[in-house]
Amino acid sequence: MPCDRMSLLKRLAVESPAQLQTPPWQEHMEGCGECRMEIQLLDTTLAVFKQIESEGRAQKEFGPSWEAFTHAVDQAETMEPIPSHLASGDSSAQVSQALAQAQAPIADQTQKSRPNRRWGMMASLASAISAATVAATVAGVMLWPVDPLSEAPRKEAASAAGTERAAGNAKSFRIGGGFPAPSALPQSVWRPLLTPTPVIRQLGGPAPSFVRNRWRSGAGSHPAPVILFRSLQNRKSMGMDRPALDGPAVRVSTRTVARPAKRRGKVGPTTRAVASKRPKTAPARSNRRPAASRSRAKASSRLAGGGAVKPRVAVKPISPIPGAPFTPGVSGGPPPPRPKAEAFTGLGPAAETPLEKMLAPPGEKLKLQAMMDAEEMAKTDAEPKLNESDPFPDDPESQNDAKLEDGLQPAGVAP
Amino acid sequence: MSRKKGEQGAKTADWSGLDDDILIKAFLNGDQTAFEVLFKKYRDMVGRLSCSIVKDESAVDDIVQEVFLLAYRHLENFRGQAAFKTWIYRITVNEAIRHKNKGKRWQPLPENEAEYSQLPSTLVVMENGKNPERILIDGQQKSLVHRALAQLKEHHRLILVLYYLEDQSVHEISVILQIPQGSVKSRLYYAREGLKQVLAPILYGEGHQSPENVHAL
Repeated sequence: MPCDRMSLLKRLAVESPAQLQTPPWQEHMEGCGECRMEIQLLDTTLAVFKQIESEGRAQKEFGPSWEAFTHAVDQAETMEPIPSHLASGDSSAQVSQALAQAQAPIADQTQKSRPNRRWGMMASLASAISAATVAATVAGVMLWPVDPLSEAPRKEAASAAGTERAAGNAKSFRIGGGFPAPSALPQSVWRPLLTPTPVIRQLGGPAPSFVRNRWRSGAGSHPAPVILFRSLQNRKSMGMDRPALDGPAVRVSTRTVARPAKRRGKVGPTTRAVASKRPKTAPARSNRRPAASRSRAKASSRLAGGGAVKPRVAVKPISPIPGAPFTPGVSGGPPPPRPKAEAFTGLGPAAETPLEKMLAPPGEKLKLQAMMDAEEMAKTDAEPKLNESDPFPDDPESQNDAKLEDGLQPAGVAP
Repeated sequence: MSRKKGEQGAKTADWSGLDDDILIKAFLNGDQTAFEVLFKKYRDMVGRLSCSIVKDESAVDDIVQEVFLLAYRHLENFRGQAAFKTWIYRITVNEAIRHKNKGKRWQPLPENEAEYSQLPSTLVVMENGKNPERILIDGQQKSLVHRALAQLKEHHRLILVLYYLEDQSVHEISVILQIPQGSVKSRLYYAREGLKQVLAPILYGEGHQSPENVHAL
């Protein structure tokens, strides 16, 4: 049976322990061992707590010195206003000067401050980043005309900048990891990084698990996946292969679904990201061309002049026979092989036709001829006309073709 | 905030005995020395309180700097309804909790669990007769107590620190934490109970029914 004065005793022990020293309470505790034990417990535990806590607080000096504090105040005051020289500028010299001025407080801070002044360091770094961002924006506006409707992919833009390193710089520029020279970057490289645009569709690669979970949980659109996929896209533009991500392939589509009417007044569709699993047996979807085709395109673009991108030309073959369907190959199957250039024999078009085509039935001959004509047309339209010479000088296949034209035996072919 | 150091030191020494209200008025009138006096007066107190909350000595300097930076910027908003000490305590508690919630957790315990197996299960509490204030705990036993105190709830620890270590009254704590005075008393009561629950098994063993079982010398 607990003592009936126990609760009062506990309350007094907390609020006014002096009352417990009065004679009535002393007499009670002499007779009641339970209350005495309770008071001893409370006092002992409190004494242990005080001892442990006061040992941690017995440090000689807390906090920064007054000088360090005044320096931090100065840093905070200079961080707030935007430098006036960034408001108007029209040359890269001013931009580099602004960058130098923005980075100067960092060196100054590291020399003057004590090593533990992380706040001041972070303030200086934030100041430098913001100033550099403004400087790069000014430079971009001045040096490259804004084309907000430009939909050039960043891969092409990075190629246009002359080096694929620019794409990597653009990425680090976005996340604050470094400062590329703004004059080396066209606006089409870094401007899309500043404006969030849905690029998830363009990639088609498997999403990491935490992104899939976020989408499954209905978290909706979030800037993190966009940034993530931009970095993945950047990997592609840097010439790396498919991103090495584990897990099942997931195709992500953003569509409008109806939200269940859980809340009042919130009726109507809302946009949520929905993830649907693709069967594992289906091949991974990829918009990339085969490796051989990519290398040819690269070589072609190099020859065409300093990294200019080879334009895509949509070729639609037209059948020369009115009403006849044009069937270059089996429907759904691979396209027919590209005919190689034959050696000039001087015997006319019939002699230049391959043997299997000559042996074809008469009804098929017309179709084959039409097909060859259409392919010739497509080839002349699609090939760049800047350089009439061999566009693939390093390609052994092309060299063999050249040797055939010269009447020589191609390498690797028995006479 | 750049001033000559000679004048500054003499002026600071002269002003150190002034009340906070006078110093605040002087600072609001443009005298930076008044804020320096306030800074030096309350720096250690703010540091101790923030150290008790965050349990990370390396973070104390940052918190103290941030607290006084906030006070420097917003001192004109100080209405004088409470003491400056209470006001800056309030800022300190907010900043320390915010800093702690950023992910910096106190890790006072040894990382190796094997160290705990070597610790005694019960402390040898050395009491001097009827005075339980004199308790000697050696270094190895401190780890055990730290581990137990880490189980204490944060708002209980905070109110114990403010009441028993910072010697703040119930009214001042109610202003600092912005809770009613009754809530302060209630939290104090439950904090003491929690303290008893986490420490009693260590101090007196699992069956802590009788404090007389303590190994007393």
